[in-house]
Amino acid sequence: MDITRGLIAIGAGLAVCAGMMTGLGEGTCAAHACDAIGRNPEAESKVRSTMILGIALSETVAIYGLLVSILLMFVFQ
Amino acid sequence: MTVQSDVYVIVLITIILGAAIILLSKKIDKADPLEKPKGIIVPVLWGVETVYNMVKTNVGDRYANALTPYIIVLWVYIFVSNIISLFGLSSPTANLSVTLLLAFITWVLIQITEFRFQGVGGYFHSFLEPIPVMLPMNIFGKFSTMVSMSLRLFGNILCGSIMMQLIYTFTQYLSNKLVGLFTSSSVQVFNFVAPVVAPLLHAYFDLFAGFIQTLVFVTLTVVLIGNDIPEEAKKVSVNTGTVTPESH
Repeated sequence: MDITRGLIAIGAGLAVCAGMMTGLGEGTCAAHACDAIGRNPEAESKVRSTMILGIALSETVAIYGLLVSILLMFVFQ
Repeated sequence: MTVQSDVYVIVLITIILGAAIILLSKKIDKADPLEKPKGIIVPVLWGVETVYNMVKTNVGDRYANALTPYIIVLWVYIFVSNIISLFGLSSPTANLSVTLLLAFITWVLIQITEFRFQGVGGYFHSFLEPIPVMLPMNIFGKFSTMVSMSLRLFGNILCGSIMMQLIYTFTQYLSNKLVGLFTSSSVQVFNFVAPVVAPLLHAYFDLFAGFIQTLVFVTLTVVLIGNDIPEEAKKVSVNTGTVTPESH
């Protein structure tokens, strides 16, 4: 019984690793938004809203990972 | 049969929104259209106009009138549901049934739009593109919109509420320890660390994340519906020159 609990914990930890590349992608998105604002400062509000939308969309993957880990922790007791 | 506690919150939100809408519409009816608007009407008109312009840029002049009421209700309903956890209630959007239903309505609208502009043959032929082997992929792809939209909203709000629960548990532990240092008794004390730490996190997890997720859901709805409408159909039809009301 004990090893099951431990394996579930390892699986939950692995599932959260989905956020790893998401962080990279969001950072790239924000960096390119900074580039765009520096090149074209009057488009700042447009760039900001598009960036927030893109970041929120790519954040979904990390949320899926978190969801899987929460399910593993609380459902498969 | 057990009733989930979210059901009560949903009923409460519906009552609040219904009362607010009735009161506001009475005020707007009474207001003189020739004079400058004042009071509570100003932000309402501003909001409606903003949403209408947002819909119009995506869907086009012709269908903006039909789609705007649904988008406004989505905005208000999801945003109020997200921030109601500030008042100590559980967010209905942290329940998959609610978000799945909202995403299902959007999905049905998208399918109706596709049927209308591609025709029955074109709709079913789109499953076989680009090659007929892609049929199972395309079937999953049709449903993935609904699943991803509902899970995105649900996951964000649920994770926010779980984070806040963890914060409250930790601050309770911390205040117990701090009091234990002086009195050497291990009793449950008032959680006095939480009022210092929690407000900022509430502002992020409830207000900011709630607003952003509402924005994402609504924008996706408008964009996905607008994508299926061909460019020439977005304009007011040239033959009659009038806007045909679609859903009245």
